[in-house]
Amino acid sequence: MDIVGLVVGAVLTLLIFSYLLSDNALYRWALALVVGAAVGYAAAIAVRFVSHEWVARGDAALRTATGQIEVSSLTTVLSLLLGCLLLFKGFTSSRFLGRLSVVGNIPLGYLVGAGAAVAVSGALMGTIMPLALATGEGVRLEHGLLPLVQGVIALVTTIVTLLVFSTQARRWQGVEVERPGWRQGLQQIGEALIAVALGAVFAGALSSALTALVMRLWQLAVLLGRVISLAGG
Amino acid sequence: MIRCPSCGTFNHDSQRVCRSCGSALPQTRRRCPECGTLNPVGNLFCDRCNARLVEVEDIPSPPAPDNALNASGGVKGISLPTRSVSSEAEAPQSPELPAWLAGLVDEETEFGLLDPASDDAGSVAQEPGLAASVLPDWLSGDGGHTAAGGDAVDTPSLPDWLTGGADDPSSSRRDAADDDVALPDWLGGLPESDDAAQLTPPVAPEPHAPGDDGISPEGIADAEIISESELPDWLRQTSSVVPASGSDGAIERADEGLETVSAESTETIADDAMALPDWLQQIAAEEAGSEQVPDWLSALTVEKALPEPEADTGVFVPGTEGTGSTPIEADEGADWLSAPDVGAAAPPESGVERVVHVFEEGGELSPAELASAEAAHPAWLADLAPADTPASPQPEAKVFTGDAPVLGARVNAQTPALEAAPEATEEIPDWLEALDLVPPESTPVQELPAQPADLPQADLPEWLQELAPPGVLAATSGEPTSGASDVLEPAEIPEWVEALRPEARAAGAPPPGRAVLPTPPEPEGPLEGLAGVLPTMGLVDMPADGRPALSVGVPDPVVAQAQLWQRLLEQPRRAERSISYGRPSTQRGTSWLRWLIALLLFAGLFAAFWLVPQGLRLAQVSPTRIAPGVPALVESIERLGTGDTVVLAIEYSPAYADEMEQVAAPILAHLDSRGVESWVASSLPEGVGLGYALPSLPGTRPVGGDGYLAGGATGIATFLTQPDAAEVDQVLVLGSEPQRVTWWLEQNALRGTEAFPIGVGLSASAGPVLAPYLASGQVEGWVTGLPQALAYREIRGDGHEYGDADLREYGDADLREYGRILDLLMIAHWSVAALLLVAFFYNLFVKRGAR
Repeated sequence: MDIVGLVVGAVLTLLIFSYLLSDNALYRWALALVVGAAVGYAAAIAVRFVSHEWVARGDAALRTATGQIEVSSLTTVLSLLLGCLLLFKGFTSSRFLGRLSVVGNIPLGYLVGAGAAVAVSGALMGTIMPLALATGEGVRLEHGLLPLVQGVIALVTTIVTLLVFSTQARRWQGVEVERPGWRQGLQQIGEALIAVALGAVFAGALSSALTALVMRLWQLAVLLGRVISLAGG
Repeated sequence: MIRCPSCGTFNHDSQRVCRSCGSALPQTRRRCPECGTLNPVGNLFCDRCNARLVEVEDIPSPPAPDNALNASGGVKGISLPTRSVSSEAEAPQSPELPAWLAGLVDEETEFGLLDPASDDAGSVAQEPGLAASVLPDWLSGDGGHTAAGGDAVDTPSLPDWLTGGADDPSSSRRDAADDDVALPDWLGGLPESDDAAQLTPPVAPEPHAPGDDGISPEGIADAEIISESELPDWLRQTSSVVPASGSDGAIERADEGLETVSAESTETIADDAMALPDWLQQIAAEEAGSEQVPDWLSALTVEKALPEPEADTGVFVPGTEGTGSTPIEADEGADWLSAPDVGAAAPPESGVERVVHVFEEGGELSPAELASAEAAHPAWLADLAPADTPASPQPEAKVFTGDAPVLGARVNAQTPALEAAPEATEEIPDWLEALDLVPPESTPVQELPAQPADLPQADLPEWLQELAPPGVLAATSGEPTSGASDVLEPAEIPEWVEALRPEARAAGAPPPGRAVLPTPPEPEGPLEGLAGVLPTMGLVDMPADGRPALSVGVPDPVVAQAQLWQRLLEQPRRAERSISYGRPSTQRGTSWLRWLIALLLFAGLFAAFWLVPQGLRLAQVSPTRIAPGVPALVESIERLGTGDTVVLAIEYSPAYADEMEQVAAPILAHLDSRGVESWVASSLPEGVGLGYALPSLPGTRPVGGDGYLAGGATGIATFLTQPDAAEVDQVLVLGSEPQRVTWWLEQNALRGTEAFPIGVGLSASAGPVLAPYLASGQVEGWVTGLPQALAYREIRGDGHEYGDADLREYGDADLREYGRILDLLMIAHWSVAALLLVAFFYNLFVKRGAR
């Protein structure tokens, strides 16, 4: 089984590498296979998740409703109802059923509103506040001079980087007022810091790509070694 | 397209306001009220249904008449296509007019034909019919088709045919009045205004019924009568035919009872009567053929107690009533009655006959003769004048004599038209009767000679002779009359008339430079089916050569755009450009460079794989270079014990599976060594499957049903707030997508003090992005990429207490392979770094130098 996996993986890897020649059908076939397998798997998971889990929950909720009503059962039924209403959004292209698509706006609004609320609250409590506190945390003498310097540098660079996203000039009474020179210098420093950060991100992406390449080549080398060993007896 | 006059933006034809500035766009279409078709603004009639687009009310009409002459009824508005009044009202005054036309206008203004100070002048210019009456026939294009009429007094310097007068002098206003109802609008509109009456082609000064010519006698008396020598012969003769006959007819009737008129005179009168209009001939025939007195005259005779005819040897001289005039005795004129043309046997002339004779022969009247002539008319005729009409003084009038004008002669001669006034009134159209004209009891009648053939040819230019109506020159082409021909001075043609001298061309041919416009049959009206009756008058009289008559100021940008469009439209279509379907050289170079890089990488990696000795480890991890998150993660996992639960959040895609498996392997081995249970969860549908591909841990199960957390951050928040989450002791997030990793961190932070300890294993690409989160203290520890994973192994295996366990789990061979993979990765990184440096210097020196 491992050999089959190695062979299939090696063939698909070579098909992807054929892009070095040109944009050919083999490369596209391999790409379509990868993307299709991922999407198909995701669709299968979603269908299974909805059909199996939620239907099972709904059936349990209905059974429970005959005896006693539980809050969790009501939320499950309500979720199923909202999910059914969301299906009406698929009738937008139909002439008659398209009018019913507005019904799908109810669960859609709920989803967007709840998602925005979760995202905003999470960004505030999980990103802005912790990062701000962490930035100021380093500016303390308790850890020594070197951590203090590092904390100050982190604070200054953070502020300077944020200054980049402010407008280069602002309008006052309809007249564009340029920033003072020192402010422009700080913004240039911030831009340089952003360039460094993006360079680090690019390096990380490149490193991940090279890791994938090395791992693929490693797998090919392993396969080739096994073939040679099998051929050598 | 409509170009906005404000901003110059091109707009569609259907737009009414500019799409750029919102300004109102000039209207380019006019909707037909009948069929709704959109027509160009310049159209007067619909292109589809021929309905009128511009209402007659829209065309500014001449000012309302303010005198009795314009009070005539039955005048219809001009329905012919007219020019734009607003723009062309001042056309005669425009400096862009040709010099000859401007001079014509000036001359006409000077002569009172066009009064620039009055609005009527503008109306004349607006109405083509009126304008045509002002201009000569050949200029207005009427070709002499307009009706006869007019007043020589008002157009002293223009003959009838030049002023658009009739080529048929015999036609009278009576005929025009009778046909007024049936006339087309353009004809009916002629007497609409003062100027229309003034500009109407003059009628020969026939002494017919009062008011017949639409001119008050006072106006005639006050006007300066032009000398006959200034008129062409044909006109002079034409003018003399009708009135002379009429006058003589009156004389004949006046002297009929006295039988003092000689037979020759009677014969002359009879001959002249032949030139009378039909209606006058009918009247004359009735009176001459029968002794029956008209009713109106009979009534007058009874009322006024006519004296005996024998006692009244004179004729009625208007204007002399109340002056105690006495009839001229027949024997008083015996001397001049013996003139050769009268004959020796001619009876003695009365005073009026003497005047007539003097007119015929030339010469002057003595005061005694004038007095006798004034006294010649009977009192009963003097009483015929209306009582309410004051006796006007004797006007100074130029009298046409046979050869030369007799200036200063005071002649009061009543025309026979006065006697025939009742009959003539019956024939007058309504619109003329409505004028309420005063009977011309004191009208100074221009006594014309009875024999116009005797008039000399007054040096008429040939071109005028050619333009004269047929028959006129024939009448005047006789032998020069004896007597006063040497007295006549050559006719002086005004300079402006000379300027109008047309070029010789074929009859009926259009003027040079003018296009011949077809004249289709009239579609409706009394002229239905007749073609060529009405002159075609285009809205814009554009010369055939296309040269603009008026200089219109066009902005230079518009001209430039028009020229550009013209060039583009006239530009011949070029041959199709050859399209190269091959890749450009730059792409080929890129392809070769791609091949070169691939070969270098593959060769380097395989060389390292095959050539590097097994025991040599290129990738070494220095303890000083280990990130602080690695030992922190090791320590956090060390705090876990058997039976604790760890949630494995798989947040990476299959593309990063190889890398993330190498990152997760040491962590999972560590967890396995601690004997913890693991739950698998993921916000990615494929995440759970990738989680199961990891080295299996004892007791691993998915969160919930299958571990899929639908809804992204909401699903994660839902999972973290479930009651089942209370059993979780730690969360380990393995991810390559920074956004999904932050969801776990943020939603876990919402738990506040109950937040789970989180460890993170990241790919090399996600590490730099999530570095602030890692450094903020929200995570217990982290591992980023293969190097830190190797450091994790080093921490646990090399001289640490975890080393032996790892070796037992994965075996020595696996650990050695892992080291070699890292060696290859290091070589690949160095190779890529070298290529980046080469590309940097290549772009810095080679390409920049090439530019």
